[in-house]
Amino acid sequence: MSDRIAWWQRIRFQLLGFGVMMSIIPLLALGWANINAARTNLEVSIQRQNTAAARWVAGEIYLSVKNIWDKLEAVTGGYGGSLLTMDNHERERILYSLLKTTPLVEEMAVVDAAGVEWTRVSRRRVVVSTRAVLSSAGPEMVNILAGRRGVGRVFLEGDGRPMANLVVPLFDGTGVRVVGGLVAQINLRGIVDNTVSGAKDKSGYLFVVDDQGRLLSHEDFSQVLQNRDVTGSAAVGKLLAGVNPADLPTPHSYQSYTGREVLGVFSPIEDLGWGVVIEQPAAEAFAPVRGLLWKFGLATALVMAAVTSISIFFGIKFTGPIQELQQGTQRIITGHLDHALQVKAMGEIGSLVAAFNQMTRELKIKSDSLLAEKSRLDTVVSGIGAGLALVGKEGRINWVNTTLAGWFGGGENVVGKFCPQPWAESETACGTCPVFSGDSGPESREVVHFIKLGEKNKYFRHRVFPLHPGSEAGAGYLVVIEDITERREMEAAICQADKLAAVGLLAAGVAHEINNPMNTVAAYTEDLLERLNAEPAAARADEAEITQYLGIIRQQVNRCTKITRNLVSFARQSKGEQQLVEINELLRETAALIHFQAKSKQLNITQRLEPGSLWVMADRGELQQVFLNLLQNAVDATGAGGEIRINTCLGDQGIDVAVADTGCGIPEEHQNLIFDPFFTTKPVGKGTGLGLSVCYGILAKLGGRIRVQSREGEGTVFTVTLPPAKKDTKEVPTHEHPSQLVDRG
Amino acid sequence: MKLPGPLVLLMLLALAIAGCSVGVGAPPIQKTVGVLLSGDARLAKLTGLKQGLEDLGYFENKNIRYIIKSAGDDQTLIRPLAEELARERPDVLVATGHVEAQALKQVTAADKMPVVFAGVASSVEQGLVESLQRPGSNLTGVDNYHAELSGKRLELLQKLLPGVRRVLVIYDPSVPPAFPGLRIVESAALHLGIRLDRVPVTSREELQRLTSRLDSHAADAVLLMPSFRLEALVGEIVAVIKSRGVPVMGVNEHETELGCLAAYGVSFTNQGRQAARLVDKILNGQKPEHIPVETPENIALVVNLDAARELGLSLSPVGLSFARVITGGQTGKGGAAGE
Repeated sequence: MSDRIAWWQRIRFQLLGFGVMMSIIPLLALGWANINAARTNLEVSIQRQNTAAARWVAGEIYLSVKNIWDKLEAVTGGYGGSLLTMDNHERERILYSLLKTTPLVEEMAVVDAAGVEWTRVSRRRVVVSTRAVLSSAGPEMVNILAGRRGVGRVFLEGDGRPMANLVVPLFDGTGVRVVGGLVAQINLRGIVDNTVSGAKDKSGYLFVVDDQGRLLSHEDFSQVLQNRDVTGSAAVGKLLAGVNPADLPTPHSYQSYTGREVLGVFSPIEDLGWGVVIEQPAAEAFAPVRGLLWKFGLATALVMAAVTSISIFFGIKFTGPIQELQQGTQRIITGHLDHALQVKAMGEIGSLVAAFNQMTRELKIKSDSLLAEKSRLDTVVSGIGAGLALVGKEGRINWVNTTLAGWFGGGENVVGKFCPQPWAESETACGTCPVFSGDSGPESREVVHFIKLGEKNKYFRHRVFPLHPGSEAGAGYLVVIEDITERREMEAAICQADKLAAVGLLAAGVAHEINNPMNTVAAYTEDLLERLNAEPAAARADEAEITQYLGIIRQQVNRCTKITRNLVSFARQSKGEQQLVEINELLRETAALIHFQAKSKQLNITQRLEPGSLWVMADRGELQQVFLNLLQNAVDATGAGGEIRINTCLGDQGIDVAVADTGCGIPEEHQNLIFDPFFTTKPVGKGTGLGLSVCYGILAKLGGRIRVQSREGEGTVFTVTLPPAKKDTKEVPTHEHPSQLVDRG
Repeated sequence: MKLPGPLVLLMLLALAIAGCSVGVGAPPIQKTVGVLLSGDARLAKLTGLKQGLEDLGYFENKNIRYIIKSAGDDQTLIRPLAEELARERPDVLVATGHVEAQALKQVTAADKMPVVFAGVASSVEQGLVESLQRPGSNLTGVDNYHAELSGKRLELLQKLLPGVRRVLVIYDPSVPPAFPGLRIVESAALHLGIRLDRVPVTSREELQRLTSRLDSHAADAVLLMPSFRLEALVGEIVAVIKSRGVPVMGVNEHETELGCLAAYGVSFTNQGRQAARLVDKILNGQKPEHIPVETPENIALVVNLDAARELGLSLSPVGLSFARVITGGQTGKGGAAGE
């Protein structure tokens, strides 16, 4: 049975599935919600942090530049126009001092209002000429001449560093007129790198653009060297458009100039017109989310492993005893009722196991008891002397007991065949059989079949009992079969004995019956002989008379022949063959057999027979034996001058044959005994006591019945009722119980 | 029903790991930096590198690990150590000088592991990179510009000692930067009105030649050209020269502590610190071939006043205005001072 349970139907797998589902589903739901929240938070956080970082870097860059401006203005403010008039060495000293304290300044120069360099100091270059001229149209001179600090052009040094010129004007003593300016070449990469390295919370890459969107610096400096156009980035576009960074949507994601999806922010740099842009590639930005996903996946896997382990643990713990119970049940199903479960469990399972073991013990006791009962039943069934067969509802024989099997040379000759074929040599159902008629009444009528088994003639009588008529599954029939051969043979022997006894009794009458014709034959023969001797010629001549004499002789001989034939016919042992018998004729013949006795007792036998023929299906001899016995009893019981009436009529119940006498009647106390074998009130030699018993047996076989009405001293009426003949009747239903057969008036 | 022991263990382990993985964040990813040094003289670069990386958020044994191999001034050990270092497969290799960079370039030729050099002279001329802007291979770093600064060094010497007219240039002909540097010095000398005299020195044994040259050719000052061999001999060279009462203009800051009057260049510490920024870029996924070689940003003129005093020299305020002044070193007076 266990093999038929699919793995997914087993409790432990269902428990495992339940555990995993109950742990994973909430975990997944929470994890999904958390990751989504984390992603959103991350976007907001990145944008906020990068905005702050961009603002900070922009501020730092501005401060760096402003610091340089301030230093330059401190010098120009301190020295004023004297910077142009002082000794060159002194100017050199001032510029070198300034250069020393301003690391981001690469070179420095003092120019006059015409843009002519007066002095230049440099960190790397050997200064050999100081008469270079700045273009008055250039931003440096424009700013100087406008009297304001400013930013000049941005350009790349020989080693690739981006440089920009910062300028401050130099005023004369009045502080109004611009006489020149101080130009400082600043290292933009140094400024950006220094500030970027301080932006700890930044993520992604940072670059600085000027007021035209040109790349001034980039963390990946190769971008500057490649002169990448960054204006395609939305952040740069919005910076140049003057959008307030605070108005950026969250998340501010777009496709950058690199073609990658980024989260971008920007911050303008005060006074310089430049801007700082920070772009974080989305793939990198969401790396923590991916990490979180990985962690979550790992945690899910581990939780699943843990839950699976726990589920397996408890699955085994819970289902182990159940499985043992199931295996125990299997063992018990296969007949091992001695098996006791050795499951050590507490609680309900322990209680269940204890109950199970108790149940098994009880089952064992009951089973043993049942087996003993079955053994007893087998003994009874086998020893009952009757054959028993179980027949399915379709009529097939499923089981037979040993008695029945023995009759037919083994159960295999019977089981599997259809009822009543084995004991009737025919598969035709009996007319009243409930198996085939569907009648589920309490029982069927008895049916007797005659068959030849080997060399022997056999009579089987069977009766069918419905089993579990209310249950479709267990419906079936019990067939009880009796071998009545011996009984039949005994009945036949008794019948024959009775018949011979009757013949014996008839013999004297028959002899008298024969005697009369024989006397007649003898008288006529005597007379004829005398006539032949006395008047041979004349007698011969009177052939007519001779012919008359011979006719009479022949008639008397025929009468004798008829009488003897009648007797012989009666005395002949019945073969049990049923045939159509006409009742009235049979009664006449039978009355003839008893005629002499009646006459000798001066009894008057009157026959009032139903006109026409009354046919029954019976063994002629047997039926005649019945009528003879009744008539014989009537003659015996009736005193001289009495009357015997024979009546036949066709009634509702069948053909009634009444034999009434005016004899002594039957005492009340004897009326219940008259059909018992060997009961007789006749003197020894007058009767065997078998007559009425044989009549009863014969009528039972014929399906008829016999009733008696008697009053002591007045007479007795025996009424035999026979079923009218039916065509094609082969079965002879019988009724055994006298109450069904005998009515006593 | 007995539960198998391994199942119980597995269960507990799974629960523990599940708890840890959910409750505790993963440890920070630790980066590995392999550093190759030719000798202890380069240790200052390593110090600068570590400081620079700390400024950038890398803390040793927390999120960064250093594998340091030093040849102990034994040139023959550099190549095997470079190979050993490469086998450890750090995230980035750092060469603290020219010979280390050459060795690492050779051992990484196949697998192109990123290499950052922390201060080499004439990186393009030495074939380490194709150009400063586009290194073109797996090497990038800080070019200390020492050869290119030779002219500026001569100018600043004159700014300190305006009377200098004859300068003896000591160079190491075996190093690639020597001749480009000489050309720059000669060009500058032409503009500055200085007459140069050159003396090649590659080993201690050749110091005698220097002595005889000083004796035969009068020189107002001596200019040292960049060379890792000369770096190792600076103490002896300065001793020889100072004994003749001639000031020496050195390259590296620490040379002023060895008796040089002045030095103009980038300190080893600053070279290392500047290289840290490039290391950071590589650790952040940038390719070395796309990271331009940087030139020094903290070039400083350092002047040893005690040396000047010993030589009885009077230094010009123009030069001094640009200089960071120290005292002490091997001049006999202890301690260093500010400007």
